[in-house]
Amino acid sequence: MIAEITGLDYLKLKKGQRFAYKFKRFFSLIPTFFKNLGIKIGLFFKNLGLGIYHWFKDLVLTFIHGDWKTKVSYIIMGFGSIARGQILRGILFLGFEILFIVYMIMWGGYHLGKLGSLGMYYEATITNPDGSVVYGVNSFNVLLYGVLTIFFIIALIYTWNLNIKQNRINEQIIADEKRLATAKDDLRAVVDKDFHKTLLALPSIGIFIFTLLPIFFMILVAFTSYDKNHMPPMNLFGWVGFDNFSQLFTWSAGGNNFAMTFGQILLWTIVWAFFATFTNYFLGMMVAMLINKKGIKFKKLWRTILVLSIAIPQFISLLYIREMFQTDGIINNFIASLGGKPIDFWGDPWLARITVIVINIWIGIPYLMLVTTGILMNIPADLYESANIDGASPWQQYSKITLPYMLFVTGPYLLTSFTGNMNNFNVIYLLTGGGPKDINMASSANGSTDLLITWLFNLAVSNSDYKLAAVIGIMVFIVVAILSLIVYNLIPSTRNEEEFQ
Amino acid sequence: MQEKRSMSLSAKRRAGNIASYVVLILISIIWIIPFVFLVLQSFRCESQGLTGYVMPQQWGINNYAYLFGWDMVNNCASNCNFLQWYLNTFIIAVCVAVGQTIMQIMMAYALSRFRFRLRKPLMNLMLILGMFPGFLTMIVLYQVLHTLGLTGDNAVPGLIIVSIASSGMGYYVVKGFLDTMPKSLDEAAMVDGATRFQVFYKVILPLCKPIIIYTVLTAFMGPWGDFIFARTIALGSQTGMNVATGLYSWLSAANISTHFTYFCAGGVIVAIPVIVLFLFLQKYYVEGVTGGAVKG
Amino acid sequence: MKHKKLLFVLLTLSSLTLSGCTFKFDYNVDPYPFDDTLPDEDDDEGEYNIKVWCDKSILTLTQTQIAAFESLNGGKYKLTVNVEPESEGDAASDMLQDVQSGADIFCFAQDQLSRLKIAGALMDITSTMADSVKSDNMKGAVNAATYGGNLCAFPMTSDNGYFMYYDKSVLNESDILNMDTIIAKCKAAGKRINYKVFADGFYAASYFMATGCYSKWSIDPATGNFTGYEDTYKANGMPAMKALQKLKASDLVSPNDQTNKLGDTAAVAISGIWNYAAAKQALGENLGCAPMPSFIVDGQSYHISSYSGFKLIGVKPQTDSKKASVCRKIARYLTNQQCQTERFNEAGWGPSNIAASKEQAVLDQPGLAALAAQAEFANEQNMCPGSWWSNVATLSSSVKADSTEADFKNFLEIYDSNLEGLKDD
Repeated sequence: MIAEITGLDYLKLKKGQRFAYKFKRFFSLIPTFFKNLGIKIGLFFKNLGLGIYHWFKDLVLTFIHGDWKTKVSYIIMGFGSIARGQILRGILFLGFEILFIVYMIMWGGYHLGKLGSLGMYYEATITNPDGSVVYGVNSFNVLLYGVLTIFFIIALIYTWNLNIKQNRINEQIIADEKRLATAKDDLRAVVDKDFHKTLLALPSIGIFIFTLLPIFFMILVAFTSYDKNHMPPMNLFGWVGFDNFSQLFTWSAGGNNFAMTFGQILLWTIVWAFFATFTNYFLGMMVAMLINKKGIKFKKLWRTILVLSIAIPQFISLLYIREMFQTDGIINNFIASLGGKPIDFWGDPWLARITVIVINIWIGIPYLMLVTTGILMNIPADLYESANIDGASPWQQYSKITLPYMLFVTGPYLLTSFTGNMNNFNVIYLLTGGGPKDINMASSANGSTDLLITWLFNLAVSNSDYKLAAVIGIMVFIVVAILSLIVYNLIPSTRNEEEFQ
Repeated sequence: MQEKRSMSLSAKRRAGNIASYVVLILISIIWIIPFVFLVLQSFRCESQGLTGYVMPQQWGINNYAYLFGWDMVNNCASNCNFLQWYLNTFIIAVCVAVGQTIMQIMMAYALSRFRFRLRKPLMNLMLILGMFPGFLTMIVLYQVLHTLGLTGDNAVPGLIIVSIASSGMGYYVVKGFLDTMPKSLDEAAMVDGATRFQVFYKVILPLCKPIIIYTVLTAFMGPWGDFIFARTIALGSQTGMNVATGLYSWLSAANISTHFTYFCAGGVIVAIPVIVLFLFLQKYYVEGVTGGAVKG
Repeated sequence: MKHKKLLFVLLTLSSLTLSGCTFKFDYNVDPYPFDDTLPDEDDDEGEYNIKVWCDKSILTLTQTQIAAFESLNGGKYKLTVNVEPESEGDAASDMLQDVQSGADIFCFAQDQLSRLKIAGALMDITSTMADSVKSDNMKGAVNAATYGGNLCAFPMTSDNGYFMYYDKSVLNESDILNMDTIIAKCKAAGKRINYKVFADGFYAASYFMATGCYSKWSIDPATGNFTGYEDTYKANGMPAMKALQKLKASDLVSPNDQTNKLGDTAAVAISGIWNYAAAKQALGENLGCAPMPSFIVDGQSYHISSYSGFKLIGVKPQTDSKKASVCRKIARYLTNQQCQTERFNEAGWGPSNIAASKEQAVLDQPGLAALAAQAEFANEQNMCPGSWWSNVATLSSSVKADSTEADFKNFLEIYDSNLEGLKDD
């Protein structure tokens, strides 16, 4: 544990020392972090227990002390609200209950019932002697809609509780002889006090169904036997517990165990993300400064030329560039016409790695040029003027004024582009497809430019090995999250929401 | 003495400028070359495959005619579904541009201006969800859309729904922009008796023009490059296919020697609407990037 | 039906008790072993919606052929046919994504057979029909369409292998017999060799098979898992590695199979019949087609081998047994002599039907003739793990101009040690 230093002492440190301090501090804080986490988890469970206790107590007490309208609401949701004149709220509660019942009868009950087994062997698809089939239980759908049903049930319990709470509050309001909120009040709240709920409703539902639910599903797949031998609807898959995780320990590819293969790919992913982010960043900044330079004309023309490459969809430009760099492509023909030997850009592991980074510069500079142009113009001009008077060289101006300012302002952007580059599927997939394979890397399960994400794609889509892909997907997720956390803690940032408001 | 010094300074500056121009011209050439080559190849008529040379030996619009349904060599219909793909993608792009902008502004405004109990958890949740490798969920999304009947021939509405539904997660840029707007604007309007909706609609939205244009532009560009997810959803159907999937299939090992110039022509046609929009709206794009992306 | 189900449940339960009540049930055991006494149904008239996936180049032809099938049956069937272009390489992954929405009848390359069969995307072919398919088609094609002893697809072409295209203005008939001569002549002419030998296992194996390497895998048909292998690459691969080094050192090889660059940048292309039209367009009269050349290592000559491959038509299992019968009949029709000949005429695809392959026009087609001449040096593709192909490709791509014999030994060693891990793949 290193000693914490005050803000003033921190400012006295040199740049390298500051970085070292932050770096050390970050890691020295890890034990404390886990200690706090332990305490937090303990507290969480204590509060959870207490919360459940109070919840039940309130439910029971409300039932005992409540009037008959409240009591009926325990079964028919919204009854109390309707009986007390809050028709709109009541109908919404009741409507949700009816919707839930219909859903469970028509759809949810079936899937929920099968969720435990994901379909038994006697429910599997049957092939008749004449070649026709009778489709049985589809494990995939059972898992998907079973999970959806569980979420639906949680939503119902929440709404049901809300409905009881509503009754309790209303009884209190009536007892205090105050006015109950009318439908008009409710409608006004929707556009005023609770306007954020209105705004968030649609995006949240969308994210829930099309992002959260699928991710939850894929995490569950890691605990099933879903692979090419267990493909619904013809075959069932089932729960296997932690088998897939323990399988990783016996996994081998070319004498490499899983940790080594994963480590190799991870290492290249980080190296790639580092170079892809920082080459683009500094070169983009330089191009922007070049265009912004005093005395340079046709600024708009230069920018437009660069921006043109953003406007062409990446898959077109990347595929075209891939062909340009082939051994018999335009670039090599040009080299040959100068009398040079052809260069096998995509065939040599190291050359391929360098080539993808260089081509990524082509892709990235226009974005960075746009981003930095605006910020460069925001740097107060008097800083440079006084630097000029002091006789600072251009390099000093850059390293003392421009760069610190830029790093300070674009800190969060660097973080997002770093994690973005770790998952930069397009550039790698379209240019090399992960290749070339290198026998000296021992593992033939991955190519030398494969990122975690492209490797995963091959597992999931080309090999239909979904259970393994799900396991590795979880690990990729953990790694990306940890790296983001580290990078986030190391870079200077202005990420303070309230600063400008 | 004084004069001489300034002379040498301006000479130095001139030399520096010339060097800058040289570098800029070089950069411009490097950045524009692939596009120029693409256009040149799209006018090549003597063969349809890859070649080692750039300048067509025989110029013509055969490749474009092929895309629009006419085979000029054999004088017959070309059976090319490019127009259908293009129309599909255009519809998707327009709908997604509108829908995504609405979703992101709703999300960003709520998170920027309201302080509520679940705000931080919600933001953290979205950050975490964003780190999960997305395409693993492709088969799930396919199944969800399949249940809704929005795959295969009906892939277009399906793709629109998927692209819009989760787009709220990309709220960062818009929120970054909104965060820079002083809160006093809202407060002043609310003192005058406006509801939060009115504040949003009448005060904030008009000020958001640059960021709205930025969002529309980026959202519009997205669908033109979607060559994996769109393919999964369309599952072989020509009526549901988008242009990226179609063009991508032309570069497969089996097709490249007969379809490369068509790919180039298709690429040029795809790039046109985006380039036109970009040229007109570049200013807003820059404002959006610097105003929102950096802070976001 | 019900009886059978009950019986099956009872049987399973008893077998469960016997096996000590481990509730690990193998879902993939076919409850009804294939019954080969059942004839095709004849009462299958009706209206059907049928979706077909085939390559873009035979799209229209397939439509006309199915229409011909319909009229041939004189109004027995009312078919609504939807033919969609789908490349044969993608058929398996797309079928597997959603079998129920996928095509009823689809074309695919033979290496996808086991994947499709295990996932339940292929219907077995009933015995009477299977007999005629077996007698009509080449033996290799029938083998390629057989899985676990049952015929489960209809052979459509026999041309999914590769041979050599060359530019007659650069190479003459004696030059093309030897790889060293080809390299020398190409170098002198400044032309390249398009050959995916360093990039793709399908082509890389050609050098190794020439020196007597093979890799045989045994498969458990019920699960599709590989149970063992017999592999001689480590033992016999050394001369191939040396020959590959010579090829690599020439700096002439382009990793593609395109023929349209012939006459432009390339003088030789190792490719298949699917690129014949492009080759003809590029070279015209100067186009030559030949079997693969030989290479000489340590004074011994080896004729470069190749794979012979077949394309098949598969039928998806149907819930409606009448539709199943109709789909089988259509697929059978699409692969008969007439349709295969038509496909040859339209797109140049080499027939797998024995009678069709003996028609004069087919015999005269230079590409198919070259393929036929190569046949004695070609090997049938046997079933092997998907990653095996990349293992071979890695082996050949690791060859560098400055590699030593010790390196080669090491590479072959690594290749060999990889095999065990491929088994679970």
